[in-house]
Amino acid sequence: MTREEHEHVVSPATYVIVLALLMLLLALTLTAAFFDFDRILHAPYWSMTIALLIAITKAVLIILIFMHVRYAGKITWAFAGAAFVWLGIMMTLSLSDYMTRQYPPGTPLSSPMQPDTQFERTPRGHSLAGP
Amino acid sequence: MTAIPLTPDYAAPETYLNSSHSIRSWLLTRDHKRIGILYMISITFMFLIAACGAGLVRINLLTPSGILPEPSMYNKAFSVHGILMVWWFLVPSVPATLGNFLLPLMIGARDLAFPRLNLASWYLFIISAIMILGVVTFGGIDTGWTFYTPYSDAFANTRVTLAVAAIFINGFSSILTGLNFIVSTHTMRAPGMTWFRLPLFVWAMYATSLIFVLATPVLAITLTLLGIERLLGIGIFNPALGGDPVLFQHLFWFYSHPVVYIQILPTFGIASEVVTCFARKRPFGYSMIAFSSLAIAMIGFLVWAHHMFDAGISPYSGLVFSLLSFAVAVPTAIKIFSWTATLYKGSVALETPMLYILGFMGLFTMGGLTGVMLATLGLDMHMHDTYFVVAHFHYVMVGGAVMGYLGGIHYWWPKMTGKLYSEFWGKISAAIIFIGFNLTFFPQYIAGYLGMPRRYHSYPPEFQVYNVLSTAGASILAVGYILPLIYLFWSLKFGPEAGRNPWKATGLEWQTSSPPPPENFEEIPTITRPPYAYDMMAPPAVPAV
Amino acid sequence: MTEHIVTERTHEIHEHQFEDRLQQKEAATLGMWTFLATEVLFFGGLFVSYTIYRHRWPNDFRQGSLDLKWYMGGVNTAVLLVSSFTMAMAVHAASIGSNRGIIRYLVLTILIGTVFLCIKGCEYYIEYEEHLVPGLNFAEYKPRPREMSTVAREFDKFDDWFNEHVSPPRQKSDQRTPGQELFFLFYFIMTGIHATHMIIGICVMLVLIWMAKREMFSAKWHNPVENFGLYWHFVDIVWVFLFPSLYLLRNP
Repeated sequence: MTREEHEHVVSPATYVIVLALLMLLLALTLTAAFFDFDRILHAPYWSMTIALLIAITKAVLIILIFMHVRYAGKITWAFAGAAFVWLGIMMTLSLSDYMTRQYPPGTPLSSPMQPDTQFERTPRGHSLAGP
Repeated sequence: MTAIPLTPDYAAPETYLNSSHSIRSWLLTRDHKRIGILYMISITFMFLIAACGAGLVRINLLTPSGILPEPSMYNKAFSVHGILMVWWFLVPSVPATLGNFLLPLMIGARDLAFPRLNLASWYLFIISAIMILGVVTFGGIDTGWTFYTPYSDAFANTRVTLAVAAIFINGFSSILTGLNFIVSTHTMRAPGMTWFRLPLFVWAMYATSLIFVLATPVLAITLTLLGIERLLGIGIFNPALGGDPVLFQHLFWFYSHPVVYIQILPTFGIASEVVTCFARKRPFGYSMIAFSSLAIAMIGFLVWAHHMFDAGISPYSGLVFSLLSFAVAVPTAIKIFSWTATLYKGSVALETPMLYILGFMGLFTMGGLTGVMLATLGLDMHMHDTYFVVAHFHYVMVGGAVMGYLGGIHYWWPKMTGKLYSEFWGKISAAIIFIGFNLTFFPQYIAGYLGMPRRYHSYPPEFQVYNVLSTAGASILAVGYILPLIYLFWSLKFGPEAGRNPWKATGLEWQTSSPPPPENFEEIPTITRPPYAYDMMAPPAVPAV
Repeated sequence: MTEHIVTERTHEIHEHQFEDRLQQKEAATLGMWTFLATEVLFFGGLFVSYTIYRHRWPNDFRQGSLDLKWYMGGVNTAVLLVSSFTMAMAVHAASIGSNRGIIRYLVLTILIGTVFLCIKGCEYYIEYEEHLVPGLNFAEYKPRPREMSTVAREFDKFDDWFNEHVSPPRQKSDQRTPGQELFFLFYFIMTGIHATHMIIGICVMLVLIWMAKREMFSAKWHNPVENFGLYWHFVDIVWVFLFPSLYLLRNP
């Protein structure tokens, strides 16, 4: 079974452009970190979302260009994608537990006002155990 | 006395078994068939040790106050039994022995994609086995196979860190096997071997390998975090820092639920092969069976918190996981219906492999249905941590996976060794195993439903009758397991030659000699027929063996 | 290992289980992607745990993050991005068959990676000085200035100036809570495992340089360089997510 080899050689100029873009995005990350978007936009989770979106853009650039996925076959796209889909499953379903928990009143997590570990510090767990 | 000279052209055909005899040629082999045999020997050894743990458990439970002198001994016994059985027997059982042996043969390749990685996988298995045997010998482990925090990280006095290190290394062995299978199935199929001409066993191994690759790393990081907590004295599961012990359970079960599908999916593959061969029929719904393997692998990742319904997770989250757990029963049921439909109006022959697989179908169905019962939130509140759960998972893992594994070993034994075993003893053992198994585990359903908790070394006296029945069954089961060891071993020396295709089965592995030559095929075949072309075969003149 | 005899025909040899070089290359690349998928889930477990706890104790995690040197992390991110670039250039050199180019760019990548590790080491040292290491010396109150070394004190002065005049973070507190210790556990474990992956990568690069010195790579066969490049880029991607998650939590 003979198949043609077509190895797409990416030019160094492309790499330089991508590096420049990545540095730009890094500058953006740092700048965005010093703005409180939750207060500016009057809604929760915005700062985190913006930081995540910038990071995802950087990752996508690296994956597509540096890792040659843009020029690769469908299987490579499937494998690269599947890993993140599974990570998404783990993240989503675990958070679905933690974000819907309700705690009895009076316990540390029951009210969002004081989400702080200011509880009584108990002595460290194990006295007898060794590795 | 004259010696009879051998004629110059007489030579025993070269097989993977006789191509070289030195220990070095076995320990440094890159041949997937030899690696499969190495694994088979290793996991049998670990099975016997884990079975001793089970023996101690069952002996202890003969009397309500427990026979073992110390409760901690009981805790160690069931922990060792669970840990060794899960990671050193069940997980590698079909993939690493039959999968390694058969996958390249079934896809028409000369070996797997990465033979040296395959050997490395076996060595990692052996290193991890030595480590866990060290744990068993020096101090033991009493956390249960689930290693729940806060006991395992803050309070246990046993060899937790060494045990998790052993499992970590074992996990890498799994990952390498899965990686090898995935890449091989994608890139090394013979000409004409399209995905829908693959045997269903290959689909099952592919689905299993997806789970290996995606689930095992999460176990690795979970155990790493547990080990760090043991070593540092403080960790992320510790409530003193605001940590949540239930997070350990989330991370642990994200792997450990899919791992049970690792344990059963390959057996589903074996069932597809054996049922079609001994019913002399194409499988009913080939693509449904193929897709259902993938569906089980994928949906199996969505259900893990059904092990945690009463651990303190949010009830809304519990609802979601309960629904998803019902969903995973659907593709599984599709398989059972498909095999049953394959048997219908088939020309069924009850050889030993078929007996094992028929037993598997019935026992797995019982175990699976009780699994759906446990997935129901209300029922689980009552039955969690009782013997009902123990009975459920033993029905699927022992009645299901182990019987299927034995069926596979008996089906492909002639191919792997070139010898036939005694059908009489094969059938007797299958019957003994079936009877022993049901006597051992059916009473546990009742005891659990009536409230007997698991992992307790003593119990209220009203449960004694069930426990005595169960222990009696276990001793019969033990006989049933030892018999194949004897007659299979015996067949190696004294069994008749099997020939290329004793079962008159379809499949590429039956087109090459028994045992196969080192390079698998004289010439790589080109596939033109659909799989399981039993209707295109002439009916056998004499019944198959 | 007869597969790697250095002759003019090196590029035509392929392992016995493959039919041709292209099949071998496909398999090797797919194998590396499968391995990277396992790594995504390995680090993923850490990210999921981190996200859960950050959701639970947002204030503590924010306070903990304020104790990290964001500018050192930022410089490290830039360093690692450049090393990704030099790695891509090494793969490019391999695809045009230049063993000398491979050596040149791999040496650069190793040097830049070492710079990253040195900066990380400095950070770890400063955190040790500031009593921020859980299980070792995590203290409930910030140590007084004269207990710290000059380096740590200078960085502290810059931090104070920045926080006062450029971007005041909300409610920076001097008290350390157990939740902050949890944060630092994550910080050390996540960056530590990341650094371990980098060290392993550097060791593999040394082996690749040794192979390139023996002229083993050609335009027709350079799978190890290409596939290692995938690994190195992956390590970079992990850091791209680690940096804002750990260092830039100043605001919710």
